[in-house]
Amino acid sequence: MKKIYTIFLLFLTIAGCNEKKDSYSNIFNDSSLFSKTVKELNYVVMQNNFPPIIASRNYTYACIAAYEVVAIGDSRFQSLAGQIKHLSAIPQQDTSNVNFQLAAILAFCKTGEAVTFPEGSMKDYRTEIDSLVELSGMSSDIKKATRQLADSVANHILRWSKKDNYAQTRTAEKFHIRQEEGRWIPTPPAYAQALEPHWNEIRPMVMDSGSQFIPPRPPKFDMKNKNSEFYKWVMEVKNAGDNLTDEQKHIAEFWDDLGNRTIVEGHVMFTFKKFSPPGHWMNIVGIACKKANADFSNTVYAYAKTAIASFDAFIQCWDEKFRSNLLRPETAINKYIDPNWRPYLQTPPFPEYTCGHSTVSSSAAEALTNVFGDNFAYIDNSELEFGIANRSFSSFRQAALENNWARFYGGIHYHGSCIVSTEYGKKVGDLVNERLKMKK
Amino acid sequence: MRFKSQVIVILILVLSISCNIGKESKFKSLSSSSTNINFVNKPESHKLFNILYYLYYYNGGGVATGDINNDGLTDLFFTANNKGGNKLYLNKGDFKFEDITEKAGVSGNSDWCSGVTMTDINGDGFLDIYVSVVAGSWELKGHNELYINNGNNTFVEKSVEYGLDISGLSTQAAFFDYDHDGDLDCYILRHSKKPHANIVDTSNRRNIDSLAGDKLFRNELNNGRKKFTDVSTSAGIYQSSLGYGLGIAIADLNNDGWEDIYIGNDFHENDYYYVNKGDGIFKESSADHFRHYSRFSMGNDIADYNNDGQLDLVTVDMLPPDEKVLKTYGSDENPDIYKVKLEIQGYQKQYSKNSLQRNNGSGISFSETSLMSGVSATDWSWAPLFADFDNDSKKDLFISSGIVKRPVDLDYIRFVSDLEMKKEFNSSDEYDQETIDAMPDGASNPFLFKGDGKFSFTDVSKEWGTEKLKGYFNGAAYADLDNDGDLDIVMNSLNAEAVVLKNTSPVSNYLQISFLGDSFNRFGIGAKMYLFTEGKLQYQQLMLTRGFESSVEPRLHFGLAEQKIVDSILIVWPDQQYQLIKNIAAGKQLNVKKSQSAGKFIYSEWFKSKQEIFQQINLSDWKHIENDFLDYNVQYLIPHMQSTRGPKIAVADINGDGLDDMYVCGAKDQPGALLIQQRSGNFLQTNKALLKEFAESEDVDAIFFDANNDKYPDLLVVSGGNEVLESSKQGLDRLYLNDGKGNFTKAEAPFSNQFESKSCVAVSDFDKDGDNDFFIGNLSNQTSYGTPVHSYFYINRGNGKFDMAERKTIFLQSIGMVTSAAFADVDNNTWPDLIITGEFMPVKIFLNKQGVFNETSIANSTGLWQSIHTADVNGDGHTDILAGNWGHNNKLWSGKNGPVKLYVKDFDNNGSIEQVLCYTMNGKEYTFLAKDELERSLPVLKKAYLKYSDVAGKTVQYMFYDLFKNYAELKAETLSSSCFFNDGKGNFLRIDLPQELQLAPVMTFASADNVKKGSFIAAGNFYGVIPYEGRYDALQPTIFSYNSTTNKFDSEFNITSFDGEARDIKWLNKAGGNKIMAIARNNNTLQFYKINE
Repeated sequence: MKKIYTIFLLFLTIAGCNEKKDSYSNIFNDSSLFSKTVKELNYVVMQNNFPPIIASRNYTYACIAAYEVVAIGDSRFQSLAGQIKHLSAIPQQDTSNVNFQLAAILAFCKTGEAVTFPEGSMKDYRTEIDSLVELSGMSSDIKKATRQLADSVANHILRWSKKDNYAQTRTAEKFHIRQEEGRWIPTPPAYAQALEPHWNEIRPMVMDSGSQFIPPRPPKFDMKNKNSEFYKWVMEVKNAGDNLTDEQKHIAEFWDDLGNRTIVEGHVMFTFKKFSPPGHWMNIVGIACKKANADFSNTVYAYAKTAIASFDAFIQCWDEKFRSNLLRPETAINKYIDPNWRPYLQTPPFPEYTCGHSTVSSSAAEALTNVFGDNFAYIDNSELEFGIANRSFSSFRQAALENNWARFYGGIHYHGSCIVSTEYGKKVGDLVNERLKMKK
Repeated sequence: MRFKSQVIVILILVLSISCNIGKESKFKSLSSSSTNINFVNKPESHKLFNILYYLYYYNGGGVATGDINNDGLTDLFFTANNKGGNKLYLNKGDFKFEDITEKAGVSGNSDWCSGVTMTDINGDGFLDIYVSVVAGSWELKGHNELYINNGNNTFVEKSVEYGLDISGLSTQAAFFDYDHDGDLDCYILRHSKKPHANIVDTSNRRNIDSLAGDKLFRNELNNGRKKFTDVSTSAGIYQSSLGYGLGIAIADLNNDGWEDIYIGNDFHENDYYYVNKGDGIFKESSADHFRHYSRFSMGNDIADYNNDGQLDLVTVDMLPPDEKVLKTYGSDENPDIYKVKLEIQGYQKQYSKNSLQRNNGSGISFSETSLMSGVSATDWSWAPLFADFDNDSKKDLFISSGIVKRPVDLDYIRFVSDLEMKKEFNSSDEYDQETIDAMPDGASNPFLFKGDGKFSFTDVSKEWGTEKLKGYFNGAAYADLDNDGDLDIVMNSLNAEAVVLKNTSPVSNYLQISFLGDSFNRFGIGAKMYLFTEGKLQYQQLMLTRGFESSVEPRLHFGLAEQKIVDSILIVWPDQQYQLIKNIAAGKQLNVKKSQSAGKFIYSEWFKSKQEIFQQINLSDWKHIENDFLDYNVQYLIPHMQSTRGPKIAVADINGDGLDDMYVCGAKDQPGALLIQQRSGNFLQTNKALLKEFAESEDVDAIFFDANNDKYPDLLVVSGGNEVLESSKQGLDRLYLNDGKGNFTKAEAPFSNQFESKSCVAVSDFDKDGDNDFFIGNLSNQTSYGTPVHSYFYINRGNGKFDMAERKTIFLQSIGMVTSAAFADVDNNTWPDLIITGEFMPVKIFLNKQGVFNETSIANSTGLWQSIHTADVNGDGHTDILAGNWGHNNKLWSGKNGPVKLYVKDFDNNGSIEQVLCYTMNGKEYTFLAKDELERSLPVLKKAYLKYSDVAGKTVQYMFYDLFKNYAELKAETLSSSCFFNDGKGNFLRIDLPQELQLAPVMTFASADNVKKGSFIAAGNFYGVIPYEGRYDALQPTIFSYNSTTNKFDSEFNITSFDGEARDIKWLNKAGGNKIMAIARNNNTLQFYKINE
């Protein structure tokens, strides 16, 4: 259904402007087409169950490939080479015949496909773009030059991406489960192993290392003393969860973004899919670009910066998660207070402290604020296709703040932890804004 | 591999072909037009009620066989999953039946009937019918129904009057006299509605669920009341929603004269074993007697299949036998998740496979042997039934199987996951049909296995005629429907006509016995019968509810093979009165009357339990404690753990007091223990401070020998373990020198230490220079299992300092993954030779000529070797080798007929080694793990194959396509624990050790000369495996010996009460000249045994 809709739209676009021979420039110089391309990768990521942090890696490399094309073609922007660790300059080449917008889209697809599976994950979408190219009447010289640039940039980015320690961490030591008080153990219903305990070994984009921003220690685990800080943290979650208002439920669901919600029915276990936290923020970028009427280059720029901010935020957060290995509220409540208590949202499979979504949201919000300015009001309709009503925000930062309540209402995070996450996500976002000079 | 068994297979084939020429198969499926049985179980269907809502929607109905009008012909009752659909067929003889349902008034009033049992509830000599019902959910109405037989082919429903009108989710009911008051009580088995996604702690078993909890009712008939009283709580029955009761079997498993209850539970709940204490109370005791269970337990049955006078148990599950189906069925969880889901919550081990639980003696322990016995995988199975179908005096096994839709298919689950996106927003059942249609069909055939009266069953479905019957066969029961002296089978099928299988065996010797009780238990339910023929025994206990949702007729059937006369039969009635009848001619139906019984039966007077030669005594509280390291978290694809090989024991009299002392190896983060024997026999720890210094090292082996030629036994402790070493202390081997009084000091750098994962040590004066030299075996690199590593040989300078041997003395580069080594002179040249073996290694013999070793390997001897022991086993003057291997009770052996292979390479070029374990069937190699498991380490496979069915049933070569090159290939041609007989000329002939010793990896051998001259003891077990492989826990320490008259090994007896992973057996001299035996157990205390004279 989605596919048909996309093609239909594309045809409409063509029908509207195939009068002139050079109409192709109008077709591809369309920032909404780029947003659509990013969303296409979003679906690939969702359908194939990529965990959120790996999803963020997928988006980031694809967005950077597109951005590097833009930086070649649009003098307002400058390359990330040299600004991002180990990213060398794209080899010089003749770009006189290149359609840079199409090249950006193609570089995005090629990179996105290479970092996902199955083989040919974006094949259908590429075919759509190909037919659009044919219909546009683009000359074969331009097609060739455009493809050459797209391939060359994508290959350059992919070569660089391979050295980020991702492959090595695929077989790194898994998290050892021990029955130690206060230590994280897998949570129902999937009881999945801890996700990516070595993600802090992934090469960051902007940060010096995963441990550049180490948050304060969480309160000491203590469920015996009802006055302990930790006990209070736990009880806050339980009390909130037991008295959720409709508004709070909406907030929790809106920011659920659990890529894979597991459902267990008898012998069968299956998953219910949604976008992931970085997927959600990619969507927000699209909404903001549309509202701001951003041109193609600025759109790619916004995506790239937000993706980079999210990427480093995850590394910062995961570094802490497997330092503190703090158990989830659900585990603490089930064991010490009420065995039948369930969080409103499903607990994702990794330690609690700090909150990934709050960290990433805060970091992404800083990047977007940097691009579009503060107090940029917008309506977020990302979740509508999953049956969750839209929410309005007065600024990106307000969205990030709401997110830290969302995780708490959802019963999957302590609020104290979310507050820290928002603060540390901001540090990462600030660093990205400070260090990257993308606009000349 | 297993040349011998191939010969046997060929022989059997030849035999069966020659037998089958011109003959029809044993069982013939009769058409409904000839039998008039046209019953079809068509399940009720309505809105919001199908397999997506009721997880047992395809569980089907049952069959009861029994003679309702006492005309000598067995009649049939079928239950239907719909209202008014039950059928009663009167047997008119010669396989003609008459549908008398309407006249009899038994078609049923409830919407969904499940199980059925025929039994005489009111003691009037006529079989009544009790039908179990699913009601109270999904708008299903009704309650369990009790049809009292009027004696004239009509019935009256009296469940309300009797108090058995239970409404809820009932599976089946069983009737037996649990309190021996002379009337039949009732256990009602029920199931929970919806598996908890959140697995709750087992402490919740005590919560009562009114719809799903099981119930026990006491019959008040003996008090003159036609009433049943609910005694569930006072009798100690779990009535919670944790239970998914699908199987019930009643029998006296522990030979104490009281009927016990075994309940099979689906999903994460364990099966329950309720021991009847005889005072009206049952004690759920499964954990004390069973080591693991079927995970998705369905039906079950209890019978003595190996004719040892002990009742054994089978429970069926859903493991597919077909390679392709198996690999879309998915693997089990990984060990960590399994731990969190099951163990932390208090559940015991459960594996998805049929379980064959051999009773090791009066229910003290059970050994689960399904894989070795050949009955582990019969797909989505329902009713197992033990019975002697071919009258050869050995019980066979029937298993019904098949499900309309297979919801566990991994591709289907993927599909549902995509579909759910849409469904979430449609609260209607609009997508139900699409979802159900996507589930693959799960049709199967009923399985027939021929038993050998010992360990093994052979699938004879083809030869006996059920292989081609494809369908969904649920409840089933046997009976001799035509009284021709063999058992026929009746099955209830889903959406198809019920099946009557006529046994067409030629007339052969048999005996059938029915009982006439003198109480309200008129049919003698619970009576035991022991049948003796020429020193052989058969044993059955009369219990009608068997298999799944079904019941059999109240008479026992014994096949007698060639025996025309039965020496004697011993009948024991439930109240323990007995009678003995002698010299009975075969070929008849015998009716035994309780009125003729006399005397109180006392089990131990009739059956002397094999004399308990070993008596367990407690001499030390020292306990080996493993750290919780999981090798799988580092090497995702390592075939099994390498970090749980301890503890080994070293023995010597270290203080010269004439009493043997010992050193026990410590696990990682635990010091080893030097234990000094006291006069009292107890052991006391010494040299604690010294040993504590190296607590962080994992001791893998230890030995006492005189290192420095001062005549006192010094101690060498070898370190290893499969964890990446974090400090030099961790991998240091320590030589402790003895001052002769048992005080030790650590020698400083006595040899160049290798900081690796070592495994074993062996000592000998190989060069006859008057001092002791030693070999240290090296196991494997901690991150690249499968890559062969070097072992080391150290030569004594004569003063306790050692030099590593030069290559010309012994070449030990990359010899493999060594687990065990021993010195012995195998070529009678007086120079000690060195025998080395290990995992995926042959047995290597380094022949010693004048102090120079020459490497040889025994041909075709590669295996997963764990232990070796040298001795002259057959008394011919040559040193033979006993070698412990992985055994037969596993998925690498069961149903396979070629070598096990291990392909080792960094397949995806990410810098880490992957190990791909494969087994061989008919020359084709398949990965042991399914795609989803392999992908965890090799995400590249995900890129290549989207669907599980893309590679399911495909060879490893296909699956790995062009990645499959430049690998290292290791193999294990045999998994049999073996004896290598030495002909004295350097040739070794391999013979399998007895089947008893193939039940698990054999980790240690010792001589048992002082138990019986020339005998040995072996022990093992191994838990460090993934749940899909299933832990090895079936091997009891077993005494065996070689019989040079028959040229065969005999297993003598085992230590029935032993539990755990044995790692070492050593004998120690104690005061007064006697010996005690110590068995070291991984992560557990030492076990000591003395020999009863």
